[in-house]
Order: sequence, then C-alpha cells, then structure tokens
Amino acid sequence: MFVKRPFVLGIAVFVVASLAIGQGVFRYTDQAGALVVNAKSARFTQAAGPVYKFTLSGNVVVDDKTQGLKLSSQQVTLDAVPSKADSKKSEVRKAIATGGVQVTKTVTTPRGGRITKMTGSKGDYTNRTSDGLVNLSGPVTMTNLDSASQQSLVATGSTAVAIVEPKTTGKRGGLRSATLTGSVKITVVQAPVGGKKGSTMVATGNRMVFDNLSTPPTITLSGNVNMEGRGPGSFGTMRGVSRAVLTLNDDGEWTGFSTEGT
Amino acid sequence: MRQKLTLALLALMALAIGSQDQDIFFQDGEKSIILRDFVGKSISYTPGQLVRFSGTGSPLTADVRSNGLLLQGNEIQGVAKPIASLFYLEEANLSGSAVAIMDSKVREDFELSKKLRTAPGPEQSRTRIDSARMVYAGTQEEGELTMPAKLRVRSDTTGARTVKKEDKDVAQTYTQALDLVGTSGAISLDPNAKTSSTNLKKGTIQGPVEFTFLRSETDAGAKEPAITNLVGRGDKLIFDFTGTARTITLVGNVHLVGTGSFNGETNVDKLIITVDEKLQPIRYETEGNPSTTKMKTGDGGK
Repeated sequence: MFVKRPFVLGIAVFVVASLAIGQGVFRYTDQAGALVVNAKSARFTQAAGPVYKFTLSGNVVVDDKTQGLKLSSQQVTLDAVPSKADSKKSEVRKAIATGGVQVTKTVTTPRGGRITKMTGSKGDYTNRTSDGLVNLSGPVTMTNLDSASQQSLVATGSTAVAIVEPKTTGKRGGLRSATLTGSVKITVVQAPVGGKKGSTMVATGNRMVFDNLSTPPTITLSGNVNMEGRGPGSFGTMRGVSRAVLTLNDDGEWTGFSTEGT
Repeated sequence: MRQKLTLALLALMALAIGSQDQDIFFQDGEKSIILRDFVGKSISYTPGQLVRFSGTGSPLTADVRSNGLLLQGNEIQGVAKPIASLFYLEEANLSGSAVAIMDSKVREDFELSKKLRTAPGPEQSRTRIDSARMVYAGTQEEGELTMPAKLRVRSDTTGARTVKKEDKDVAQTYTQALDLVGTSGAISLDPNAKTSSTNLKKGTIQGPVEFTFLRSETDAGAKEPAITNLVGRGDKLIFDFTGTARTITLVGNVHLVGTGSFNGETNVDKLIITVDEKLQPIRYETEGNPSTTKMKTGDGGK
C-alpha cells in the first residue's frame, strides 16, 4: 500500500497510519495533535527535510490547527513539515486538491472571530511562511463570516486567488486579499442592528479584488458592474459601470462606494 | 388571433419596461432620485452623506422625484443630499441642450406614495426650461436655476378655486400657460407651487425678452371661459410671486398687446403687472416716456 518513490532522498517512515489504512480509513496525527489528516486511503512517505508527503483520496480532511486551516476534498496531495516553533507540531506546507475542495480559515480577531470558507472543484494551498496562498478554480464560492456580529461577505466566481493570514489571528480576519474572476457576484450583509437583520448589498462584475489590508479595506469590482441594495436603509440600484470601489470598515461592513467609467 | 395579439402586446410592454429599467444607472432605495441613460458615468455614495454623480449621455436624465424635478442634457455634475431616507438635489451643472422640468404632480405623487402628504393639491403646475447650459442650486423646498445662455420657459398650470362674485361663492376652474424666451436668466422654482399658482417663484430674464401669457377661467355653469391673452416684449423681465404684491415687471422698450384683463396695446419704458395669488393679472402700471397706450373699451385695463 505504501510506496517509496525512487526520487525521494529520505527514508520512508511507516507510522501508525499503516494500521488505519488496513481498516480502509487513514488517520494521521502529529505528536501535539496540531495536524490531523483523515482520508479513506493514503500513501505516506517521509522525505528529506523532513517533509511528510501524503497522497490522499476519499473524503480527505486536513486540519492544521497551527494555521487555523482546514482543507477537505476528494483527492489531496499534501506536503507537511515540522513546525519551527514546536518540533512536536507539523504544519501544511503545500496541498493540491481535486474534487469538492473546501478551504476553511478560522482566526481570532480583536472583535471575536472570523471564518473564511472557500470552495471550488480544484485548488491548491501554499504556506509561504509570512502568509498562505490559496488558488481555486471553479466554480468557486468564498464566504467570509464574522462569527460574533454575523456580518458576512459571500463571493462567487470562476477562479479565486486568496492570500490568508499565516496563523490563527488577524486584525480583520483570516483573509488578507482575494481576487475572483469570471462572472463574479458578491453579497455583503451588514451586521444586524437592534435585533433587526442587516441590509444587504449585492454586486456583480467580471472581476473582484478584495483588499483587506488597505485602510480602509476595499472591494474593487470591474467589468460591467451592477449593484443593488436590499433591506432597510439600502442604497438602491447602480448599474453598468466599468469599475466600482466599495469601502469597508474594520468589521467588514460596506460604508460607501464610488464608481467610474462607462 | 386576438389572444396572440394581446400576448404580443404584453410581451412588447414587458420588454419596454425591462428596457427602461436597464437604462437606469443609479437609483436610491426610495427611488427619490433616478439617474438614467448615462453613458460616461461616475458616482460616489456613502450612506447619510452627499451623493456626488457625473456623467454624459445623449441625452441623460436625472429624475429627482422628491423635488419634482427632471433634468436632461448631454453632461451633468450633480450633488444630492439625503434627508431622512430620501435624496434631494442640492447642486447640478447641466450642459448640452439642457432641459429642466419641474412638475408639481410628480412631486405630489411621490409624496403621496411615501405618505408625506395625505391628499393631492387643488392645482398642478409644470414648468419646462430649455437652455444650452444651466446651473441648479436647491434645497428640499426650492431650487434656483441660472441660465447663462439663451433660454425658453414654458409654464402650464391647471387648477380649481372658489371666487366671490356678487357676494356668492363661485367654483372656478382655470388653465394658464406662459411661454417666454430671453438671452439669459435666473429663476427660483417652487416644486410644490406653494407660493402661488405656479412653480415660478421669482426670477430675472435678460432680454430681449418675448413672452405670451394665456389664462382661461371657467366659472361653474358658464357657457364660455373668460380669457386673458397677453403678448409682450422688453429688454428685461423681472417677476416676483413671493410677496403679497406679486408683480411682473418689464423694463426697456416694453411692448404689450392683450385681450381680456388687459385689452389694448402699450409701448412704454416700464410696465408693472400686478397679479393675484393665482397669477390672474389685476393691475397694469406704466412708467416712463415715450409711452403710447391704446385701451379698448370693454373688459380689462385697470
């Protein structure tokens, strides 16, 4: 079941996983329980570095608690490395996933917590130490939810490239930036006020760039942009501009927009 | 066959409505301001703050229903101010075959739909101003249009009132039409026509100014309406319907010919026409020399 690839320099190390595979379910846990991998079947090797290489299939779930990252898919090729801060912990370094891909990033913010979910048909994740890079192709859906205030951003498109925080904390959540292309639709829901549901902004365009690091944070839509407000106090309708920039506050709520072009 | 025709007509109507809807560039949640047919366009919107917009079109339309004001032209820069949940036009710079239409019925219907008023008013007034360029500055209750170029003003009013005749209350309906042209001017407009029986509040039109004024009053039971018809010109026209003495003043090379309340012809340096609250002329005063006036016997000419 395990395959030692000829080009792997290190020595393959068989771990507790072999028992699980024998039962048709694979489970890997590092010594600290910071990285947990589940799948129906797997190939697992250790290469120089060390780098733990997994080839996983069937209901794959990779839970990296150090990065606040959970990846689920049908097929995943995963590279994990020991954490530099704690050798008992392992972290995802790179993952390539195919089929029903979902990447969930959970972080703590000064106002509570925020969960970012990204789904697509295939994608990959790279831990670049200073941040994480997510590529997804589609159709893709990205949901950025403040778990305390219930403010949310939902974006759909054909492809997505997102840069996420490297760890489990972030000033405005786990998402630093995201670019969606294709026929993009975003829905921004304001936080409820006084028990009443917050108003909603729905916008469409050919491309969306979410910059969550700028001050203020912005969402830039380009290419045949249409926008519509729904609910109490909503702004109304705006149609057919080439570019629109929505400004957000630190809570992710939209505070205004400006447009330009034909 | 008839069913097919009906379906085709319904489909066409739906298409027309959809097409009109697609022409909308921006509208607020209460539809108090609707920007339509903008080709080049930009807008800046922050809830609770001024909305700034600009655009080009051929022509574009800014329909500010809360003001009862519709602007058309080839280019516009505008600012709308939020008051409660509605937007009112605060500034606009309009050019390229500019048209401003202030319609009290549009405002009235809008206010009725928003429950800002409970009943329609007794009269409707619609004023259209055409000029190459115009600048609008306004509030919720009034607006001033400045036209630095040749302009034409057409104002129509219809209404009903009760008048005292021989100590009896007589129901009367009336229509009134003013058409004037000038070389430049500034006009204050009242969207609700509260000040008097017109959207026009006060203004100065530089000349040469030419105008026609036609008023028709029909008393209940009367066979024919009483008609006042004035045709005039002058170097300048000033009107002010805001005070108790509502006047239209023509200055310089004044010529007026009329029937009805003014039945005759005059050439003077200055002519002051005093009107009542419904803009019916009630007094004509002339000043200056040379002056020639011919008044016909019969009605009018006080």
